[in-house]
Amino acid sequence: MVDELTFVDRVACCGGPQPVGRFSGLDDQVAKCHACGLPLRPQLFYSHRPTPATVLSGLIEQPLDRLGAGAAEWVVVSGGDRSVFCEQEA
Amino acid sequence: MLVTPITGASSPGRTSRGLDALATVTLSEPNQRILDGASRASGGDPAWRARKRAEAHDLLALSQIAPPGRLAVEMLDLRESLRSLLLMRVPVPCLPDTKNELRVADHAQLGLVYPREVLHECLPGPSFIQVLHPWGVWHANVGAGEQPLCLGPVLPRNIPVRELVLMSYNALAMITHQVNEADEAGVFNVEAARWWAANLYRLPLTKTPFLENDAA
Repeated sequence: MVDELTFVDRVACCGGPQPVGRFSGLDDQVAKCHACGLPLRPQLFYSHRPTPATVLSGLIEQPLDRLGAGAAEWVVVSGGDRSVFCEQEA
Repeated sequence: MLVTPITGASSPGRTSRGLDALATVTLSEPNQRILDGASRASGGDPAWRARKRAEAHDLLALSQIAPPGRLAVEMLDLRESLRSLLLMRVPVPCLPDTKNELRVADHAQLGLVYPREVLHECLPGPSFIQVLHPWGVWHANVGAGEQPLCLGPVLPRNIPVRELVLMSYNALAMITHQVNEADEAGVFNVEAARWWAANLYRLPLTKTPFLENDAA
């Protein structure tokens, strides 16, 4: 879980699904439909919070700022019944 | 809630035991494989994993007892929330053409998300279903853009997945509908609500319940 952000895997519109692959606020525009030009926000079915590691897949080694989460103040990493809370230094 | 009693069972093994018996339905081999595969990757604490497996079993069982073609589970993901891609045979109202003639699609592809919060919170009606196809759904309770389907102002805590599926069918076919923009429950698409309020004679789009075969 990355701060208050949700991971947007993709978005869909009349032009079909488009990949996004980054974290975003729920009300932020993350793409424009390549068919109709409509601004697209994170969508229920294609957004994840918390984000399973398998959804991040090839992105898991990327620094958070390349994934739209450079300003995140905290991250919780969970596995099994354990979690680690990481906080940005002041 | 909007659970439709099963009537007119055409095949004892398929429909006669009712929705309450979904948990006892033996899954077909392909469906059992889907469930086992998704369960292996299931995340969360043991209680949430067990709940997701039970709900996913019911969803697959529902697709089996429904008339052929009514519901197909195209994808099942239990890694975090329960997520499923569903193909449902249901009339779906779409944007009228230039002559104001309503277009009606015969299937909907639905993205279902069943989050852990449902165990202890009453969630808003648009929290569960997104209409992924067709685009341009013309419905008072389907928002423009990402097309969330609103199933009511607030849904009860612990609402089962099977009820979400049945409510989606009834909502899309407009067997149940709310087109009054002045109603405190509100509407998601005011333009569509106004259009439907002026065209109530067209409702419902079908009278066939979810578990019955469509009329020939």
